[in-house]
Amino acid sequence: MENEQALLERAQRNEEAALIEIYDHFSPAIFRYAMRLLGDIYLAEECVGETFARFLQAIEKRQGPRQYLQAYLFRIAHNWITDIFRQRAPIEAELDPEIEADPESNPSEAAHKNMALEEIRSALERLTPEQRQVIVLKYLEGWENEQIAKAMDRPIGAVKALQHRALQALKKTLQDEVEPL
Amino acid sequence: MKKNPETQTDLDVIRQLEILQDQPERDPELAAQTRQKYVSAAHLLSSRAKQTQSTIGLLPALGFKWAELKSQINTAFSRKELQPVFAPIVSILIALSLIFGGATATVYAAQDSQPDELLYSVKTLTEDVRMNLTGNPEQRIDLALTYADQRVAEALLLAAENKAPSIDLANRYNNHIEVALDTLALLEAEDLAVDLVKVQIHLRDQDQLMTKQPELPDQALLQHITRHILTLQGAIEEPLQWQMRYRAGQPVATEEPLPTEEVPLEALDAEDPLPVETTEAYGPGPGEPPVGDDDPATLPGYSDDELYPAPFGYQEQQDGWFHWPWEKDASGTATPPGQKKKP
Repeated sequence: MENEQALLERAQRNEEAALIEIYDHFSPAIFRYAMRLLGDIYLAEECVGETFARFLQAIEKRQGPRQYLQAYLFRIAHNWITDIFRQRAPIEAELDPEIEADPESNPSEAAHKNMALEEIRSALERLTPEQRQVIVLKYLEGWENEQIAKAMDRPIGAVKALQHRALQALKKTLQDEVEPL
Repeated sequence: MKKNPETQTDLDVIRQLEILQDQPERDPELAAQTRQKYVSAAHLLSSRAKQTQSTIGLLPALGFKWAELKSQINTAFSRKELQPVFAPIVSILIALSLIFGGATATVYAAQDSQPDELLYSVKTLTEDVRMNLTGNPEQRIDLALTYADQRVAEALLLAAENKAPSIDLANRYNNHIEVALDTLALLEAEDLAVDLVKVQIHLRDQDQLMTKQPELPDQALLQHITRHILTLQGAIEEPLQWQMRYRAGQPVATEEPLPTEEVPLEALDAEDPLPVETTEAYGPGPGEPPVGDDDPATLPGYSDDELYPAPFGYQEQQDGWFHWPWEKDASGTATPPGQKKKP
């Protein structure tokens, strides 16, 4: 992909090729991000569609990003996922009876993994939206603090503080789930 | 001493997060559908921007006040087309929910359905209801154009999925554009130029989208687009003359002879409710009482009932509903009452 800033400037001139290149480059990462948080391929795909639809609308209204395109797209996706979390009741960690077991794997191992996945997603969902965003971008997407600060439009110090509080909250939630009262 | 930002317990939590690193692959079919929709939207955005630019160059030479026109077009596009359905649909849904309860969810779910899906007829029904409830001519044109864009997008999606074109879809598209043109024909001169440009931009965008697609295009829909582009030929240069010719049901396109029965001009003049050749065609001056053919009560599209007038352009029929007064033939082509059908 060419320089992100140059690509963004071409997109702001409504160049079709640039708009498509942006989609092809960033949509896999947005899907992965949504999938990690939502755990549902249909919802994750919807998140990709909605993120890029909002991006196009912003470009048409000349309200799109002037810089930090990647951070901008992740912020849209994050807001969409946050809305989804708000709309539904908190998820209780439980096994999905419709999940098909991999015939080549150990059934109890697969069930244990599914349960662990649901537990960690449930714990993430209970964080504040900003804490969740920091955790996923930092530890799952591997972003630097500076990139996260741009995506969240916050100073680096605030990002570090959020990161610390998020880890504490996550630790407490996971411990509570292991040792219920 | 530099403080270690992550303690051992933090590292334990981070290690637990690693289970989320492995994610299933993206479903190729779903991913292709999402991309196809984005690419169509990006193409529409790009071609619309080009059309707007080319129109900017044309209009000053024709004496239009471009700043005013651009502002009106931008307002129309940003407010009505990018958020095409939701505000008024919400009102309809609330009303429906009071009457039918659970049926509302079906109507809402139908909004994203495609022509080959079960809920598509529900979607088109809600479109018809909304169109019938829209009396303001500007909003009516915007709505018709939005629906026409949706029909083109649906045709592109069918083609992308290698599905057969739908004749019903092409007919619905034709109806939408006919509604837009019929409404244009009744607009005041001051609004006419802006809306003519708007309709032309949409038709050219739709034409480009249909002709650029790699798959075999929906020929019936493409023919409708081509015919309507021809109908609007020369309209921007002479909007009032175009309007009078259209209202009179005369052929407005001159490039291709149309293969239908010829109507003698004398016969059309005799039936035309508006005089064409003289300046009296523009009606009496401000404050003067309407005379003869200029009396609104005698023009098509107005109800005689002064207390409860019909919505713009409609007449109340025996069934108690307000109907667009122009007759439509089997193909959906509209013709003013008492006029010979347009070729």
